[in-house]
Amino acid sequence: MAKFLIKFRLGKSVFERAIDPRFYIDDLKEFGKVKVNIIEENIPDPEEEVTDDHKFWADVELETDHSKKDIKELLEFIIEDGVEIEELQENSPKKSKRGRKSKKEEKKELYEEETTKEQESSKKEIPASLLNNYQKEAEEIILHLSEVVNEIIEEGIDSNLINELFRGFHTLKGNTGILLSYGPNKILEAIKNLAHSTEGFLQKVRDENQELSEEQLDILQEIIDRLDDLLLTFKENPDEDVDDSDIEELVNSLIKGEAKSTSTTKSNKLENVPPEIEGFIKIIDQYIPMYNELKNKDSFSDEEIDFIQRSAIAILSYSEKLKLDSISSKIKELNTALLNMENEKIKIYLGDIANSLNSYKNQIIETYSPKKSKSSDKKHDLSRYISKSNYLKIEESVVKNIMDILGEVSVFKEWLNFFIIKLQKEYQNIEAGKELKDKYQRFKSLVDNLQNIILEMRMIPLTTLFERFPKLVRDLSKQLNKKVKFVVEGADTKLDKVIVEKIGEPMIHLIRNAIDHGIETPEERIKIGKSEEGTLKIKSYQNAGNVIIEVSDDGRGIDPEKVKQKALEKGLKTKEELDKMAEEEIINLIFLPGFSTKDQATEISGRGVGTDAVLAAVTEFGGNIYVESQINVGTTFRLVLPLTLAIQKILLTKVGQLSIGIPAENISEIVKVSKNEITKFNDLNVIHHRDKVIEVIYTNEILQIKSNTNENEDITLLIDNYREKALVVDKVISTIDSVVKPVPDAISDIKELSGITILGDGSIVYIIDVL
Amino acid sequence: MSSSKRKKQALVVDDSLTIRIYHSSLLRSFGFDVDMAENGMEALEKCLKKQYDLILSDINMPVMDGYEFVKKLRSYENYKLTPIVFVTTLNSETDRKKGFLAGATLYIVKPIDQEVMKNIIESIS
Repeated sequence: MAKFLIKFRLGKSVFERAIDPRFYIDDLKEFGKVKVNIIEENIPDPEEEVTDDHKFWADVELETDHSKKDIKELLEFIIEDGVEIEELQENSPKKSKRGRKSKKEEKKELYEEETTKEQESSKKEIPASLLNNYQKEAEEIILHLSEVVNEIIEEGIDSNLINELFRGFHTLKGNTGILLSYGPNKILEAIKNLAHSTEGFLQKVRDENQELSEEQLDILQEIIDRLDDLLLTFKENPDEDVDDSDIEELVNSLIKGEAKSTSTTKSNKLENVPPEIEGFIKIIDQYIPMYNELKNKDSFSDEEIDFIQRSAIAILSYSEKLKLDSISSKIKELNTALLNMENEKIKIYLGDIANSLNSYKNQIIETYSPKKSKSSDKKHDLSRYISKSNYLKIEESVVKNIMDILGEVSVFKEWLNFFIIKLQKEYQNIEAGKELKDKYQRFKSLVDNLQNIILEMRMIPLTTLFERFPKLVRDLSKQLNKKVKFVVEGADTKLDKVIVEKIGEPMIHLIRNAIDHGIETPEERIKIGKSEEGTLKIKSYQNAGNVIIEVSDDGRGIDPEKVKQKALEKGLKTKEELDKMAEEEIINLIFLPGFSTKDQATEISGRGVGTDAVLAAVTEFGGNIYVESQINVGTTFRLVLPLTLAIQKILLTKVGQLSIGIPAENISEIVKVSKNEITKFNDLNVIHHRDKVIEVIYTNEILQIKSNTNENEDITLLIDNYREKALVVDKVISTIDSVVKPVPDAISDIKELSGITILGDGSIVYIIDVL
Repeated sequence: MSSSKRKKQALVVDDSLTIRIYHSSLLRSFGFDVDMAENGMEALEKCLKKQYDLILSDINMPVMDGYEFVKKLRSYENYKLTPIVFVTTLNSETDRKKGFLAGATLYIVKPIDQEVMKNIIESIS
């Protein structure tokens, strides 16, 4: 512990650069114990013109583990405006060491000391809490930075925004510096250097009132992405030897304002490789290891020679197309060697070609390196809210492959079940059937177990998404002058990773909506007798095969009359239609495309997606959304999401001649009722069931086919108590686990079909999702 | 028929209907006439009745798997050089080796982008 006295004697020069020195004092608080003694404080408002009267004089006593150098670095940008750092003498036993340090601190070039410092600080373990906080905050900063860049892209440059950026990079640099004081780390160094250089650049932009070019904004976004990558790497593998060679280049191109050479400015995820090149890579990926194996063989079998010949033809057609002359000529030489059966030559050429292909491949990967590229669309940014926590250390594609194979295994499992019945009934082989059935049970439980494990692998807790919301809520309520208490319940509910990633955007929209449109200003709230502070609550829980997420506020609620008017105005519904609708249905009209209750979308909510887009996003993977609202009491949006996208429990039914599958999680009850229990209400068929009125849908009518149920027979109803709907089918057969595949193009115009699945006996089941 | 430009013929072999439909619609969109077979045995029978210019096959199939089918097919003189593509989720070294030595021209690991697939098909046929 050392004690420092830091004297701030700041005047005009600082304020002209729109720096708020108090911000630096906050930073110092991160270093240790701070005692602030303000001598004079007269800080101009952002819009105010700076005069000589504006100043910030304060003495700050800081007790810290950090060195003077660290403090200097933190205050680097204002030190010359009038900051003095003195080390106070009354202190700790480690005097000699510090003494040595402070001598070095006399040196002007701060960065020359980097190495000395690294050697000095024996590598201490970073405390877990500090590390956690650092990561969380850094993620938030990066997220915020990215938002700000977008804002600049969308709304043009403004000094406040530049300041925001400056501050973000600055804090990130400072925080990273703190971790570095525990010992050297290459990733952290890279983060710090990148943040530092960018901060410097931004300061210049701000001080000189420069404009930022489009390229510069792109590069800024790229830098932010790079920081994000580095951070992620640090989180996953702190000791990884990162390649930081591009950092300098990034910063240089930022300063020059030029697009960096090919590698980074163009969108460069590997998906964006031109298809012909990607195809070639995909092919040679398989050939290279074969060639490498064959080149070490003494002699070749006929199959091997055939393979070499065929592969040579394929490679040649590609290499000629892509004008890879050296590869083409080597292949031709290989062909000659093949004709003359010169084994030694063949081996040499194989090795040679494998090498050339390999280096070509590396060159492609390098050129189209998977560094995330700039993108100004919201989706890209929002992904930062979402995909941070990768509990999966294996590539997702691997899990997907396993799922695919497991899907086929499941189909086989179902087939086996069919076969056993066939064996016993059709082939009359009862004994064999019995024996097989025993084995089948064992097999089934193994497959089921495997399925559960893999499903579990794909599940991540919602925390990963929710933990980003408090800041969002804080920022939004500040911007909108609302007081909002934010409550989260059930964040440990687990959900398929893919879904967690996809609901980020809709959730953010709902949160924005709630704060912007729902919760009133403190004054309004007091006037109507509510507490000054509004409450925004996010609650999630599992319900059968669904996960429910509720976003509710205790704000002004949705006025059904206004919704009606709007729906009329926009021609979304006719008066007659509206008159027939229940209040609840009317409120749910807000999900119709093109609907928005506020005439002027405010700055906050107007920019995102509309409520209809929220619905679209949620239904895309089989989820749904409902709204409940009461005027002046509040609004609740309820997202109903499938637990997993991978394997669904399907209730197999018969309707007419067709096998129809219905996602089992939607169905709460299966009942038989007599036909006359179904009555007409307006134009709807309804049934009274457990004190509820439930809408009855005839599946055969949707599909325009004939039902097999006779006139006077009871009918089978699949009831979804939750959505208060029921489906009529002819017969319920069984429940199956299946991998639902997309609807083939040929029949994709039947909109009720949500997919198909194939049974063990090869027959097709059409999945309908109308509940 | 006097048309000089005979449409190219392709065969899609896969036990999954969905994949058969998917692959064949893909190939049709590239201008092929497409036939389908559910397993290697069926595919082999079809190949002997008609000369195909391209074959897309799965590996894991009942009755006769892809390896056996391709191996048998390559023993016919008129199928020595026909492009045969394995499209599979099997991604191990042994699978690949088995695939190539059975006689596959290409071994493609799913998933694969449509455009890329198109390109590969164009390049080899």
